Amino acid sequence: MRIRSYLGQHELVVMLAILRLGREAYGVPIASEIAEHTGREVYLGTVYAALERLEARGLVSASQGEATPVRGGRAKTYFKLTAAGLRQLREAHRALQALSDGLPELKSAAS
Amino acid sequence: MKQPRPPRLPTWLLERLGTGEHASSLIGDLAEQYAVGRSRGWYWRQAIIALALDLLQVLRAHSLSFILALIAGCALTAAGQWVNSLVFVPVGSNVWRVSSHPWSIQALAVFVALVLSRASLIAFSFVSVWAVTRVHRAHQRGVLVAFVLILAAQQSPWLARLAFDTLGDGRFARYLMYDIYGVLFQVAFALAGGLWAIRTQKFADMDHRTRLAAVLVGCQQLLGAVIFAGSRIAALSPFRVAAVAYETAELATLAYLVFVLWLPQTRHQEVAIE
Repeated sequence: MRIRSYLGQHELVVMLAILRLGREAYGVPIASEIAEHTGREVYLGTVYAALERLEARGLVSASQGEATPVRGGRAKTYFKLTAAGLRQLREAHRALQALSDGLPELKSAAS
Repeated sequence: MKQPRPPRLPTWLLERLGTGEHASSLIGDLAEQYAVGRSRGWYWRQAIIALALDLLQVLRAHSLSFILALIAGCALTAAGQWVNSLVFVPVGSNVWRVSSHPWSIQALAVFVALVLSRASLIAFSFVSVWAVTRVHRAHQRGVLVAFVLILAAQQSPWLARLAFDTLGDGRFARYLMYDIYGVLFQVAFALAGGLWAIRTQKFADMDHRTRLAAVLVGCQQLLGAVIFAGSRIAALSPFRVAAVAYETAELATLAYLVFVLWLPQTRHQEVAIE
């Protein structure tokens, strides 16, 4: 399978959510975090699809958590950014900031 | 407090068709959200989107093998029908010549040809689904379902026309029922054959239900071929009711085999929901 070298918008958002959540980053809170900050409904399937792509590229690592009765006995999978993931996120953030700096259109939209 | 049980069908579909590495965690996440008050509609939407994304991801990664698998399956099915029409149908159309002498050598030859006709159709059907699941290995159940849908879709224009004719003239209902049975049998046999081709367990290691169903399907097909050929030669049309009962039993056994083969081989160790 061909693997993209750049981060897509959804992947970027998922990585930022993981970073914000720290140790509590598994499917449900990641989706909630994105929904809260973007104001749109987030499908868990899209979150997991992005996470699997990021994992395949070595930008995110996964570890098994606890299984609880409320989850029907299924374990949580926690995600965290790898060093390569954090590096790529910083680069993407820097590029976005550099591109958006000084644009009056963006300032008026934000205010 | 007792937790609400998530909708069974979408969970079942995710368990059987979900290929994502974290499919089990996704189902757990959905159950967790359902327990805190999400609606059934929300659960269904999430499950459908997850399954569609799963399929899209597989298609994007292995689209060529997916298409080739479907082409191979359709080509082999067509080849089977062509061989049957070329070799065995002419024999079947001359069956009336031997009906008056059912114990003659000629009748025996026609009997063998009719049995072989049915056997060849079954063999080609099995080879088709075997090829489909071997050409595309990334999502074998997905490609099998797609192939079965194509098989059913091929028959749908004819069935629709027959259904329309039946509305105008009730005498067509018998033919409609017979053709619906034919499509259901083809679909069930293709599913059972495909699932059998992709099973990972040896026959001896399978549970007794699956082994029993598989043996029963084999015996029914053999017996069905013999009964079908025998009744045509002896022109036993008065036994139509018995034939319908036998065909219904065949279909039910096939459906049961599909059901037990579709079940996951290892169930999740579920924690009791208090």
